[in-house]
Amino acid sequence: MIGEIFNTFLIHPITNLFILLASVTGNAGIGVILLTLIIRVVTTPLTLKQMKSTRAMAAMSPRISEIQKRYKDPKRRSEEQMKLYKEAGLNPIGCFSSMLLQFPILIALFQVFRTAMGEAPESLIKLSERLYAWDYLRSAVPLNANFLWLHLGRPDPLILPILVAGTTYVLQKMTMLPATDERQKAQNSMMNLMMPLIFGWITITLPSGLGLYYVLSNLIGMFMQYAYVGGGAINLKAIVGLSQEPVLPKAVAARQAQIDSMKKVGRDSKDEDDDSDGAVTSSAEGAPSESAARRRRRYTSGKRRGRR
Amino acid sequence: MFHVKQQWRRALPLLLLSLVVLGCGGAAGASGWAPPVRSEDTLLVATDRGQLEAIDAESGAILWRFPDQWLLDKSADDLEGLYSPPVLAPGADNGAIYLGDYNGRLYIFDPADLDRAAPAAGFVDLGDKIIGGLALDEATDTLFVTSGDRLVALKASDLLRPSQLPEIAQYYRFQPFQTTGELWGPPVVGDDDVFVASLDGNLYAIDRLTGAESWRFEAGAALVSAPVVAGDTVLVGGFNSRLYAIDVANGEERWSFKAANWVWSRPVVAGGNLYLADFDGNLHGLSLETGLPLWEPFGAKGRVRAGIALVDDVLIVATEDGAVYGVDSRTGALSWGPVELGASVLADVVGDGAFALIVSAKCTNVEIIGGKRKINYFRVDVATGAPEPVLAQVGC
Repeated sequence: MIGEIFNTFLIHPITNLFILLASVTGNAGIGVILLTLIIRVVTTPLTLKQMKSTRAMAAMSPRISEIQKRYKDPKRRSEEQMKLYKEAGLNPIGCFSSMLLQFPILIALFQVFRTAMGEAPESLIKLSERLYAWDYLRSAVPLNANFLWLHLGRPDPLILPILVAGTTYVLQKMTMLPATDERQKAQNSMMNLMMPLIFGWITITLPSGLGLYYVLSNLIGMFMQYAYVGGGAINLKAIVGLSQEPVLPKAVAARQAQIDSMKKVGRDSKDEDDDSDGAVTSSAEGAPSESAARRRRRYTSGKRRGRR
Repeated sequence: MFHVKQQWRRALPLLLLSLVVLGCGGAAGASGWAPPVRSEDTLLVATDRGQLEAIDAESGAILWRFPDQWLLDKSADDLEGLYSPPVLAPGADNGAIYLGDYNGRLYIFDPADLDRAAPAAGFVDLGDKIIGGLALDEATDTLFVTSGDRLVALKASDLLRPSQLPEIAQYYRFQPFQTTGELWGPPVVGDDDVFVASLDGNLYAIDRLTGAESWRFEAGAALVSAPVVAGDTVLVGGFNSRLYAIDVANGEERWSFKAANWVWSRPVVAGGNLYLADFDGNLHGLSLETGLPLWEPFGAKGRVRAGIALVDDVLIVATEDGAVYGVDSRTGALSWGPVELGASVLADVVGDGAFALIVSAKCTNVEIIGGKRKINYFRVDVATGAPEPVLAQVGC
C-alpha cells in the first residue's frame, strides 16, 4: 500500500519528468541538472521554513540551556521547553521538515536513475512499468547517459565521491552553529568529518546520477544558506583548515548579537521581576519583542499565583 | 533537547541514506534471457546464474554444465548474463559451441572434451558486452557477434582452438562495424548482407563479405527487436511502438505498423502472414505484403518481450508475468490459457515438435510427487497448454 503510493506519487512522476527533460535536452546529465533545480524550487518553502526554524532554535539555545540547568525532572524540563516553543510559535519538527522530504526524494531518485539509466536491458523492462502512456516518452528511451566523464547509470569511483564529500563538508560548516560547550564542540568536529566521508563512500556504490544530484543540491543549499543567513565573507580558512571557526563569520556575529540581546532583555526582565523562575520566552526570530516580554511577565506572574 | 536535536538532525541523513543503500541494493543485474536451443537429442538451456546446461531432451537428465566442468583460464570471470543462445559449429568435427556473455567474452568449447580429464575451453575478449548475440554464416565461415555498439566479424574456424588466449584482432574477418548505439538485437544473415538493429535508431545492412555499409534505415527511435528476414523484406520493431517492413535490396520502407507499445518481441512469419506481440500484451496478425491486420488483436494480460512461437497453427505467447497463452493463428481466438508458470518469462519461446520450450527468468517452485522443487525450464503441450516442468534443472 505504502509502496504503491510511493510509486504513484513520487517515483512515476519523477521518472517521467526526468525522461522528458533528458529527452528534450538530448542528454541525461542536463536532465539531472534541470530535475535538481525543479526539485529544489518545489521544496524551497520547506527549506526556508527549516532554515527559519533552525535560526529561531539557535536564538533560543541559551534559554533552552537555562531550562536544562534549572529543571532536573525530565518531565518538567520537557514541559517547559514545549511551552517555550509554543510561545515562540515554533514547531520543533520544523527543523526536520525539509530533511524528511529530502529522503523520499533521494530514494525515489535512486530508483529513477537506476532504471532510467541502467545498463542491463532488464532495467528497461522495469522502466516500462513506470512510463506514462505517451509515445514521446516511450520513444525517448534509452537515454544518453554519458555526461562529462560520467556514465550516470554507473558509479563513479573517484571524482564524484570527492565532490559529494567536499560539498557536504562545506554545507555542514555553513549551517553548523558555533558550539556552546566542549562536548558539543567535539561532537561537531566528529560529525563534520564523518558525515562527508560516509556520504562520499556511499556515493561510490550508487549511480553517479544520484551523486550529481547530491552535489548540485548541496551547491544550491550553500547558495540559499548564504542568501538567507546573510552576507559576510566566507571564511575559506575555516573550511580548508577543518577548524571550528564559523564559515560565515559576519552572519554568526549577527546571530550572536541577537542572542546577546535576548540575554540582555532576559536580565532586564529579571531585574524587573524578582522571581526569575521560568523566565523562558522568545520570539521566533530571536530578539524578544515587546509583546513577548509582556507574555513572559504574564506567564511568570501566573506561575506565582499558581504557587500561592 | 536542542543538542539532541542537532545530533539527530545530522545523523538522520546518514541513517536514511544507509537504508536507501541497504534497501535498494545495487544496480539492476544482467540476468540474461537466452532461449533454449535443441541439438539433436540435447537441449541447451542458459540459466540466469551464468551457466549453460545440456539436458537430455527425452529424460531431462543433465548431460553437462558449462563452465563448471571445464578448465578455463583464471583470467576468465564467471559467465554473466547470457542474452543470446549458443551457436553450434556444424562444420567442426567435434561440434564446438560458441557462447557470448554480458562481460563481452566469447567462449569456445567442445562438449566432447568431457571425455578428457581436464576439458578445456577458450575465450576471446571482445571488450564490450554481448547482448544482441551471435550468428554463424557458414558460407563464408564468419561468426558475427554484437559487442556493445559494434558488429564484429570473426573467422569462425580459426576460433576453434580452445585453451589459448589470442589477440582478438587476428580473427577479424573485417574491421568491426561501428554504430552509435548499443546492439540489443542479434545479427541476422541475409543473402548479401548481415542486418543489425541498433539503439541509435538505425537498421544497418552490412555487406557480409567486406563489412561495408550497404544501406541504413532510420526509424527515429531505438530498434530493439531481432530483425527477421522474410524473402525480400526485413522486419524490425522498436521503442516507437512500430514494426517496420523494409526492402532488403535498398532499405526503403514498405510499410509500418503502429502497435500499442514497444515492439521488442521478435516477430514470426509463416504462410504470407506475420505475427507479433507488443509490450502491452497485444498479439497482432498482419499480412506480410501490406501490413494490414488479419484479425482483431488478442490481448494477453502483461508485457511481452519474449518472441512468440508458432506450432501447428497455435501461437504461443508468454508474458513477463509468466502467463502463457495459446492463440489460433487463423482467427486470433484464444485456444487455451492463460497457464501461469509463476515466474517471469523474457526469453523467446521456442517451438519443439508438439511442445513449446519456455525458460523463465527466475526459478519457481512446482509441486511434484515427493514435494516441491525449484524449476526454471518448462515444456508446454501446444495442443492443451499443459506445462511440464523439466526436473533435471540443478542450478535452481
